[in-house]
Amino acid sequence: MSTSIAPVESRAAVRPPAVQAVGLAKWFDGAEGTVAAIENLTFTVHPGEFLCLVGPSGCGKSTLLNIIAGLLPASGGQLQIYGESGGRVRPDCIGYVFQRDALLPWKTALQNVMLPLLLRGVPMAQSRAEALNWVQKVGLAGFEHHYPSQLSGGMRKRISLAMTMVYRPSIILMDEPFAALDVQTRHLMENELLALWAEAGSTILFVTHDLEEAVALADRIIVLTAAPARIRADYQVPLDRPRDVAEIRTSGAFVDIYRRIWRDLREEVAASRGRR
Amino acid sequence: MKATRWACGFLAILTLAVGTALPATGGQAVPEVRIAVGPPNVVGYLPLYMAKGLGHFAELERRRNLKVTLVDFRGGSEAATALIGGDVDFATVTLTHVIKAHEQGKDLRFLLTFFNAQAMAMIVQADLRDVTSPAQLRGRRVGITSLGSATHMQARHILAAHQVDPDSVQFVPVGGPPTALAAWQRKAVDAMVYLDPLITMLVDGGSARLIYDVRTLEGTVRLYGAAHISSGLLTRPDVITRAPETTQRVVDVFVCTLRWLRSRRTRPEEIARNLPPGLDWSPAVIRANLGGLSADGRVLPDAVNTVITFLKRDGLLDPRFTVPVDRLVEGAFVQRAILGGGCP
Amino acid sequence: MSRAGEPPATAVRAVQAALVAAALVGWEVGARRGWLSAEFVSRPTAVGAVIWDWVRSGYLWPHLVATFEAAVVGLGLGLAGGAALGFLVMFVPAVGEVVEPAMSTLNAVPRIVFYPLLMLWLGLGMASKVGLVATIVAFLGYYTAVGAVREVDRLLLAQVRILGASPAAMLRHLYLPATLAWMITGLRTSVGLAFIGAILGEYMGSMRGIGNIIMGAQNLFQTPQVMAGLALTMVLAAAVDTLLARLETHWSAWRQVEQA
Repeated sequence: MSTSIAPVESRAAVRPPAVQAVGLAKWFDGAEGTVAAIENLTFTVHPGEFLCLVGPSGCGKSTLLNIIAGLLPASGGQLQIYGESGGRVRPDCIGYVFQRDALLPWKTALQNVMLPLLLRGVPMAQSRAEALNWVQKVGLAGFEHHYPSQLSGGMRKRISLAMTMVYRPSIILMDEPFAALDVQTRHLMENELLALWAEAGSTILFVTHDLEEAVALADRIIVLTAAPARIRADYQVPLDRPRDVAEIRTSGAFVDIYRRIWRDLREEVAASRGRR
Repeated sequence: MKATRWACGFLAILTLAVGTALPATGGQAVPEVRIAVGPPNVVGYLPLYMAKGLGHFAELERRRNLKVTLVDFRGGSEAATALIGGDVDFATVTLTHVIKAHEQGKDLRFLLTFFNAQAMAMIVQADLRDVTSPAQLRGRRVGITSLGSATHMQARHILAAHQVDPDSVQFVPVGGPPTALAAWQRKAVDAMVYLDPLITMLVDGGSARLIYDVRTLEGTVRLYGAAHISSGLLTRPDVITRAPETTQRVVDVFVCTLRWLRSRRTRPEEIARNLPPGLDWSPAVIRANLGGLSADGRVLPDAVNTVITFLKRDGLLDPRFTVPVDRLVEGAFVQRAILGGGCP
Repeated sequence: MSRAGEPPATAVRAVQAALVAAALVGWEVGARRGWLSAEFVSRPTAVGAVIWDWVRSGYLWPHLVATFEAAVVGLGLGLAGGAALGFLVMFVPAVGEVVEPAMSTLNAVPRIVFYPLLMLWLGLGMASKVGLVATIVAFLGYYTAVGAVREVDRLLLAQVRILGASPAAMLRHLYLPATLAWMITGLRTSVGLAFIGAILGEYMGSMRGIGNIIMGAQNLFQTPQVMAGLALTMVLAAAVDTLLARLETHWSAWRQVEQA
């Protein structure tokens, strides 16, 4: 069910959709038999969109991201990335920021950010310069030669962001990236993310169970049901940009949207709790 | 990443090291004569070390461009195996090893004799005053290096010659010199058949008495009825065919050394003085063993037969095994060395 | 540089030195007084005199180098070769099927029994000793690589795949560094094994080396020389271990616990 609050810009006519899922399904064979994680998901993500996926914990959001990333094969349905299917990971298309940071611990911050460029055959000097640029962009100038173990959680997150964005992937998947951070750092990171996104113009699929974060960040929010995940609702978030995530939470429009979406989400959270 | 680069650099250095290390075993400008010695530093190979100490090998290298290298092995069998395998061209071991090799179908040739006596002796604990001869060892504990070893066989011969049934004594394996010493001090054995330098050390130290000395020619002849051959120089037939001159030169050195030793047989101090550095056999040890030294390295056919006979009698050789002496021994080189006189 | 609660490094060094000195004094006194049997253990002064004599006369150097080279070169080759095989087994399943069961069986065999074969192939010199040491430590390299690959963080693997790494790139950026981390600890434990292998190899047929010296000295009943050989082996092994400890600290810089 799609609820529009403002007219949707029809970008679809210009380029193929970034992600198109039709009847996507995933089940796992477990000890107690087959468990469905995702059931019959159909949705479209438009290029340049900031889409948040919210749902109760354990509903299959991460599984969905992993399928889109090509790390897991779908059990059923169709998935097209920029009009192409096949299920392989397309290195230029996709970036992924995991919940736990996935920095190579034996490489410095700079070397981590350089890695995707080196893997694409960018010459060493140029990779280094570009990576340094991004390290500065995420506000960590001076820390480029630190190892991840020498950086705080927030700093590691920023390097993860830099590492993902340095090669300008068209689609960036983010799985609750800021969940492990304290509130203030989280707000900082959210603002930075918005700034970087505005500059890069990528499509972002952002998974979170924090509805406030979703409303503050997204253009569009899809609410997923409790497991097995299906689409419960699809909302537009027509708040103005640029946004400051801390301040926007007090605006009236924000609260309205939040309340509306929360009603849907609350039932799903209760349903998932009830199942346990 | 730094560590990976370090690792690669280390591997590169490693490969270089390997590259330089390996050829050191192979190609050399001076032809190398390798002699397998098993075990190293035993009195039974005195002529070998004497030759080294007198500088004959150095001279061989200087005058004839032949570099003699000794390769040490843990025991005679290992040295003989190396000779059979072709890694060395000569070996100093015992005649027994040659015979055993032939039994297994491998062809080795005995070139010259070092000792015509066995380099072993039987001792008894000094405080066992009632034991004055091997005849009184019935029921006692007799130490040997290990079961089936040369010392074991020697002990059996000695006992048999004194009308003692070898099965009536208890043979105790005491291992190498350090453990043998420990066993002796602990009085774990009443008597022992062993080699120098331990024998001389214990006798001179007062904790042991000699009751049978096989190191002298008389002692050996009394036991076997004839001379024996313990140690000597061996080679393979293909070495003789391929490098007869080299073989002759090596044999010449040994004959010369044996003659020198014979001429100094009353002056063990002088012999001891001329040993290579590190070899610290005392004049006493040398004196005790000089008696059995071959005068000129000749290989006596009677002695060869004695060895074979007793091996069969001890059950160490198939009784039906026969081999013509000229397949076991290549005595021509020694003959030529003896006739040639003088040292090279 | 010491951390709070730990004694300063200099004090630790001083205590260690004092303990060593006390042991040496005890050994000397014990041997002189007859509490320790000098025929078997000799005295530090006698052993020291032997070593000094060897050093002065130049006798020691070729033997020391021979054993050191055999141990170190064998160690490097064995670990690298074993690791390479480990990677092959993990990345090429067909190879894994064949090789893996064989490795467990072979590992149970004391590699010294292969030595005669090695001598046959590689001769009597350095190569066979290097070969023996290499076969002894190869299994460590193998199991380290296999373990590192198995244990590699799934998350890192996923991230590196998404970043677009080819299998070769994954080996270089992910598996090799991960293995090195595991390897370094194993490296230090295998130093002792490497020297044992080198000396054992020399025992079984050699022209030079510390093992060769010990073998000869044993037959001459020269206990100071035997002890000197043992002492020198300890010194060599300790030297290599110290070097490796430095390397370990250096290479593990990235592992520092995060400052709160």
